[in-house]
Amino acid sequence: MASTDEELVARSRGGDLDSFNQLVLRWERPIYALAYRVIGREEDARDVAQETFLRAFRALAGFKGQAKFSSWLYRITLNLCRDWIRRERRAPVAQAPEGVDLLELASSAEPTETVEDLVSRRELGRAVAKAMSTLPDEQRTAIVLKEYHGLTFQEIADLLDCPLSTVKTRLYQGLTVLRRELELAGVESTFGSATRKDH
Amino acid sequence: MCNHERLLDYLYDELPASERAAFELHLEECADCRAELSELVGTRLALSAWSPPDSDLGFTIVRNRPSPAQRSFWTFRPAWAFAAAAILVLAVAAAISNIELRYGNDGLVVRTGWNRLSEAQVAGVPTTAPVPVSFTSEEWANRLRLLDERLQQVEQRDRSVKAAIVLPESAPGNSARMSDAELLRTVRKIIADSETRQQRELAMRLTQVVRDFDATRAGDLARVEQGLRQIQGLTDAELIRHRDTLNHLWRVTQQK
Repeated sequence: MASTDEELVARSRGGDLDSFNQLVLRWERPIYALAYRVIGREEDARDVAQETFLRAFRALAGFKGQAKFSSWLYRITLNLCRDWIRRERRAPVAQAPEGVDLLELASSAEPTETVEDLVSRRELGRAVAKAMSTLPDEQRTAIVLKEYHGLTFQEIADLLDCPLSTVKTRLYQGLTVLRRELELAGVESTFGSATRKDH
Repeated sequence: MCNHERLLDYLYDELPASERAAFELHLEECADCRAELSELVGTRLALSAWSPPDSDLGFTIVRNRPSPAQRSFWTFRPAWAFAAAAILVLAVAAAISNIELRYGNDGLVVRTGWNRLSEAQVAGVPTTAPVPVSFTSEEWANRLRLLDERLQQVEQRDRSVKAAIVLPESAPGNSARMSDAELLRTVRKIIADSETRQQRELAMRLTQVVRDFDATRAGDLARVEQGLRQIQGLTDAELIRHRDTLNHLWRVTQQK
């Protein structure tokens, strides 16, 4: 049976490097995904994810378990993302490669999807990435934490050190702006198939 | 639209059970809230299409000194890195052992040791030197003189080698002067023993390198498999949860 985060953290604090590397293996992809969705650049997101674990390892002695390990990692990641955005002094950039690589698409296919569905989903993903890049940092962060990481409103409020109502307002405003941006981009959002219109 | 906070709570399934039924009742009566909920569900569906590009992660903390935390650094340690290291070790071992690989009428021949090289060096003749086709009488005289000098050097070195060699006590004629044939046999035996030791040591090193490489590769594969299983599990669970939630919301928004 797999060890819990708390057990692995306890062993890591005792000097067990393998236990910490198990935590890294468990959380590296969510942390990378969070960084990517906040700053929008693959290479920089990798760097941020790597730096997150390095900082976590160095600060492990100071982590007393007052929060979930994942929340602690999220906080470190978001701080690093904030530093990155401040340093770069620019809005996150949505990476949107020009060509459509069918092999890459096929590897990310779900069992029931046709190639047309795949292409449509990929294009929709690009439109979403672009629309997300137009949002203010705090709205984008709230959406990412809620939508892609499944945190509760209270967890987000704790993580961002802001009131619960502020989190909901940011989320609602962000979703509203997103909807408008997607409509401008020609995305028709209907249940069952959020597709992109061809103009 | 009435209260976006309650709408969000309902959208993300965070509304307390005690308030859920009442809010659904409100949805049936409020067209604005119903329309807003439908739009938000559509936006969430669009959001689900955005995923980060696949990226090679494989982060690992390694310790470069015995003390913890502060003395660590990041590195990525794939199997190919160990393969490259193994090849480097083999190259060094081959250089130390002076391996010679030759394929000819005798088949594949592998030889080790420094003796072959020293023979050429003792003779003082570069192995790659071109051989002239013809010489003048003066060139012949010079070459003969050089050859004579080299022969004298070889003979002198031979005498010093005979004097330097210490034979085992059990060897016959230890106290007496050895014949050239006996000396040659002894030297050959010493060389053969040396080569055997070197070959044995090389074989042991090779075995160790291959064993380390296999162990590392197996470890890497296990980690990759574990990661894939974990990702697959997380993804599947998340998808199922999202679809259940969205299906439920769709049914509610379509009730009226």
